[in-house]
Amino acid sequence: MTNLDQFESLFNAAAHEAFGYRPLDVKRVLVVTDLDESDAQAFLARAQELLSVLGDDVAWTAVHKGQFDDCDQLLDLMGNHQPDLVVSYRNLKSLAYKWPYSLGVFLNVLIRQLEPPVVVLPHPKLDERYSWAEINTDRVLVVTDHLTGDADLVNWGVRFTEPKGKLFLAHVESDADFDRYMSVIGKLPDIPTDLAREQIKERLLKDPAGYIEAVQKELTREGLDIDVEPIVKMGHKVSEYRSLVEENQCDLVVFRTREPGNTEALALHGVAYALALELRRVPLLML
Amino acid sequence: MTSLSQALFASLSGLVATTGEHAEAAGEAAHAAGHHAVSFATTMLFTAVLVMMVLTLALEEKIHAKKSLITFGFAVLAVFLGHALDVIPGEAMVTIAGETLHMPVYVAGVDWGVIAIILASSIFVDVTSKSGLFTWIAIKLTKASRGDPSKLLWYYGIMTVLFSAVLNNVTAMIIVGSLSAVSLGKLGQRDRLLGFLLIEGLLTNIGGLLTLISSVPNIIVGQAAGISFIRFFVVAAPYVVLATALTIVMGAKLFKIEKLTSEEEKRAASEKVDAFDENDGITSEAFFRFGAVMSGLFIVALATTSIIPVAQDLGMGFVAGTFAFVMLTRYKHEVDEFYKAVDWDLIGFFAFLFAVINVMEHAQVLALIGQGLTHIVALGPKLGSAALLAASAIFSSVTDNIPLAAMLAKILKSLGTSADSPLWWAVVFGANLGGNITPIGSASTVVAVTVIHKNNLPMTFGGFVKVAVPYAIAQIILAVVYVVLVLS
Repeated sequence: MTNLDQFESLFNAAAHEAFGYRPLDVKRVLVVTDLDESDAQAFLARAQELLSVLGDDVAWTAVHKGQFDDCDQLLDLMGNHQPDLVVSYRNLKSLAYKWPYSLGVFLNVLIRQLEPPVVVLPHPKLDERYSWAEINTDRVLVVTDHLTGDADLVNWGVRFTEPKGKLFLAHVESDADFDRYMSVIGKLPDIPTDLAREQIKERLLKDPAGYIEAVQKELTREGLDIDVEPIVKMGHKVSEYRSLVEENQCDLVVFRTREPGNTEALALHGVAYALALELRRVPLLML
Repeated sequence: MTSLSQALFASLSGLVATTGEHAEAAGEAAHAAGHHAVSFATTMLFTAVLVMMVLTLALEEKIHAKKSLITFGFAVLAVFLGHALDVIPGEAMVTIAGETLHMPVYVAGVDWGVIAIILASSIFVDVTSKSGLFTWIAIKLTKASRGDPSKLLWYYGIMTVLFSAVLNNVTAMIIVGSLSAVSLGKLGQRDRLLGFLLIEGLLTNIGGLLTLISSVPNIIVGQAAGISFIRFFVVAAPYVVLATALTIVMGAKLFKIEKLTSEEEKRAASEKVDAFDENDGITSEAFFRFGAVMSGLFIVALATTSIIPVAQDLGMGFVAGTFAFVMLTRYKHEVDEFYKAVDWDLIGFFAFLFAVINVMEHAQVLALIGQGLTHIVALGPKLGSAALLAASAIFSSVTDNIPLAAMLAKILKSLGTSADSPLWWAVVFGANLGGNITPIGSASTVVAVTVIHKNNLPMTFGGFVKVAVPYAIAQIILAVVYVVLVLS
């Protein structure tokens, strides 16, 4: 125990990440549709009902099919409105909405190009949403593989959770990556494999659990009546995320599409895109 | 020349005495003490062996050899030559309750009491560390500082001194150094890390003065002089308090480590340290409490060994060993892991060193050095102590302070130095404080430099000396004043 590295590890482990609550301002919402004007307004009303947690002091604007033809025009609209939040759905102006294989070019561009987050609702022409979804957002699921320290992600989840609602903070550690590293460690005679497996797994799951506790404490301190529920587990398959949504009957799923501070790296160990395709039946908030 | 420099010159001359007068006088003294006489040539041969060993130890980093191997080699050489030249017998005889035991002379020559204290204390500390006690204390202090750099420096500084006193210098530096790196990193104050690490490195050697078991020279000298744990503490503590305050105040000024001023900065720093969890390293609450209680009892037991029946005869090594055993029972299935973690290089170093010094004693080398030392002793308690302190500090800055302390302890004992003599304290203070002059002067400053380099902070040998020398001079001057005015 008198080894320098051992004590450094102990202190690094004790130096938990603090969670800083930051209220997020959403003043302007742009609802992008490929519907005609009246249907676009109806869709806007549905979105308003779902996202009533944003409050009354929000300017909602609907975009209908006649207002843009291509991505450039859509981005010009974004530039003109400067929204804090965009609401839309998959496969705008495309028949590909019938198949669950793509997000469509417009949504892809919105997600990749825009700063503000995008809420992706189930397609209005398909009746595929979960029975509990699209009423309000009193059960919000935040999902990531790197929860510890991602205060921004958590704050978005908090923003969209109704008072007295439940915020599920799910940290899913990639077991595929873990197994790959363990197989390499298994080839290194100087590192005891069983010990490495046990302790690394324990620490990978302990840190996010501790962070979630810090989130609950901070929200309580700030007087926010939100129940935070931890979900910390190993996994990597998209189907596991879908199970989380269904088991917890979530109204909204929040996740990053890119690692914070690194536009090259796909979030969620590369499954963010696949997740966006898979979770068609529940609203998504994509950061 | 001043009388001080004359004394230093004379003691050096004693080492390379070319006149037969010194050797003859040494031989006569040796004969009177019960050793058989050896020729001057033999004494000079073994003196050369001793000098070679000291030089080789000083160059251990350069030759990439562990200390224990160096002293092992010289122990083999010294014992072989010693017996071949009829300086030492092949075996020693020890009588226990009327029964005579035979053992090899190189075994009898080792001070097993010192080794027992070091071995048992290190096991005790190692097992107690597992309880999370020391990291808990360290993190609690970090949180108490609210992230203010000035408070952090004082708290870490005092913690360094107390940990050095109770644990050992190296462990103290490892704990405080690694925590400084993590906490200052978290606070976004990494620019202050170099200052913190340097001050903490210097404070480990001051903390090493606080108790009898705080450093190996203390144990060696304390045992030789018959100084009890409590007496040692009572004498050393006032100096340690003053030197700690002086070092921290000087360090804060030099490295501009100041209080936070704005409320925003204070709030932000406070939030960051509040996120530390002092309980993170505690796997068992019960063992944590047990470790805390046992640590307190350990100090009390060592302090009162001289008055505890039975234990007073068996010595501190026995007491420390008992505590080590009790702590080990918590990990009864894994004791081998703790045995493996013992610094066997250090234990081996001591054992072989004692074997060498035992041969040197019989070869009259120590008596020869002692002749030089009598010039210093002849200066009187005040000047003699000052000279001895300064000389010890200079030598221990470039070579290991343990052989120095071991030799001087033997010599002072052979000269019949009384337990109250300030000369013992001169050796203690000099041997400990000399380690602050150079980065290789003590194991704990080596650790400080390791942490500095690990964090990619610029610090060369010359840079360290340049920064550390003013502190070391101030500490040594304070020690001289203390020994001369208070202890003489």
